[in-house]
Amino acid sequence: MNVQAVLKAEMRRVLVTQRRYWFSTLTNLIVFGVVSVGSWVALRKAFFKGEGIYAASAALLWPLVLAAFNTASGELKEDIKLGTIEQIYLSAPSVLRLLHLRSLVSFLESLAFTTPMLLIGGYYLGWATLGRWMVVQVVPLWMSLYGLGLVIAGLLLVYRRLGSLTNLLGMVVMALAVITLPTQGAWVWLRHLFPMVGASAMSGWPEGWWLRYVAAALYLFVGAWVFRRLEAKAKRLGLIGKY
Amino acid sequence: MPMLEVKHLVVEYPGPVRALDGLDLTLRRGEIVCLLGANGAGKTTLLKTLCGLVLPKEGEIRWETPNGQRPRLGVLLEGSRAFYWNLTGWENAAYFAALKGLPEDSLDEHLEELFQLVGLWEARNRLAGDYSSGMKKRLSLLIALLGKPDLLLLDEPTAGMDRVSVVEFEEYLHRIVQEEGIGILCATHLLSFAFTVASRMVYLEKGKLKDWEWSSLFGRHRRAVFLLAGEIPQKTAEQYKPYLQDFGQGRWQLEGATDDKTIFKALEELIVEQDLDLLQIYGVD
Repeated sequence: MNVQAVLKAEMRRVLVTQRRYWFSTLTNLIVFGVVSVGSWVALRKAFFKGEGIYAASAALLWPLVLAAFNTASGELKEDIKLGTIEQIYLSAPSVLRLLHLRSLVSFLESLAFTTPMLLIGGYYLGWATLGRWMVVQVVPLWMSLYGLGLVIAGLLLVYRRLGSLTNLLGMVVMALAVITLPTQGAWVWLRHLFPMVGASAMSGWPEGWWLRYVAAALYLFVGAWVFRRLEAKAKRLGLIGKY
Repeated sequence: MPMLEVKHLVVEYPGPVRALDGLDLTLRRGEIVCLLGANGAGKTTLLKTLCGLVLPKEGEIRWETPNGQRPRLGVLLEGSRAFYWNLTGWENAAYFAALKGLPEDSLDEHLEELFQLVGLWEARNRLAGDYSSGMKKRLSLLIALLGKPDLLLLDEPTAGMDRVSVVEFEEYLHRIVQEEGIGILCATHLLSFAFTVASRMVYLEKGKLKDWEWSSLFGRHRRAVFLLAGEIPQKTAEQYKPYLQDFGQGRWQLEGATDDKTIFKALEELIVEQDLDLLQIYGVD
């Protein structure tokens, strides 16, 4: 697979769709902005006792969480719904690699959507704080959620009816991402093992923060492994292409 | 040397259902093999297994290509959902070309050739979702033909096509086989199409391949009717007079009992030697 050409083709597909359905894109942007600001105000009052720094990151986090978790399963669900899944399997030498590239494009797409909010967040919270949060929390969260998303995608190939559950699961992972966890004692180390939980905290550089990347890579690896196993099962049962 | 050799292929679905039951098949370069059989006989399963969408339980699939690798496959499966409906025909073709790893520098030229070939050049910038069912089928075919495949696997390629498109398609298949030397395995219910394009026909029944036999075609039907188009010399028409009916304007009906070998001998002579087109076949009680 020519990675560069496929990446370009994927980006073109996304851009063409966004441009062609520009009204929908614009509406999504407005909804995104309103929901982000609204959730910041609401979360700040409800859960974070007026600590704007937590609430702001939670408000910035939700689109990234949804995009990370839903990329693999969402893309496959869409292809299953449209009936293009067979063509994808016939054209791409490795669907898993295609999903990786689609995830990257989706990350860039959601970053483009969140950019205005990130700029406001950076101005409000400070650029160093925002950058640290991205490195310590957001990237490992993205990787680990994408790994979990691959498991769901694999399950979707075998159990089509799970499709309707993915939205619900999306809400669950969103809730897990913004809950606050203790930052003392064993929790400091424990939370490194679950980079997808409590990622709205914008603290300094926690001790052993790099372990989050190790854990995230493990989730990614396990997710890819499970996806391949389930994909093989779907092929054995003749389920690829069943709508 | 065959480009494809399948040995004792077994595919089992939950149930358990043996969709393919020890199937053997060979296909040579430059050969068009038509796969006939009733619904559920395993035709689609065989094509899906060959292109890797279904994993066999047992058996071996061996490819013989100059570099010893799997040949470039072009696959058209039944249904018209082989592309994104919110992209134009051209955007779809370019997208799938990228997935197939086709070089970008000569892509426009290649796509133009294919769009001209399938007759979608004028409609290339229209949304694929707005295409008619025949156009969707042709776009699916175009995607299957991307990158000049060595082996084409076609599942009911003429379904939804009008007669003119079917004839054009038949001519196209003959041309690519002659010019490119590719192999084609084609599952179809359209016997006239099979007779026109096939260099060999095989019949699939209960997951096993059988050599072509007329009796397998008509099942319980006791009489067979063939509609033909073309000119029949006087002498030949006289020879088969009890079976032939002239409808005028080059249209003929050949009819006889399914256990009467003469009718099939006549049919082969008329199609192979006199080059008549077989328009339709049906069985009657």
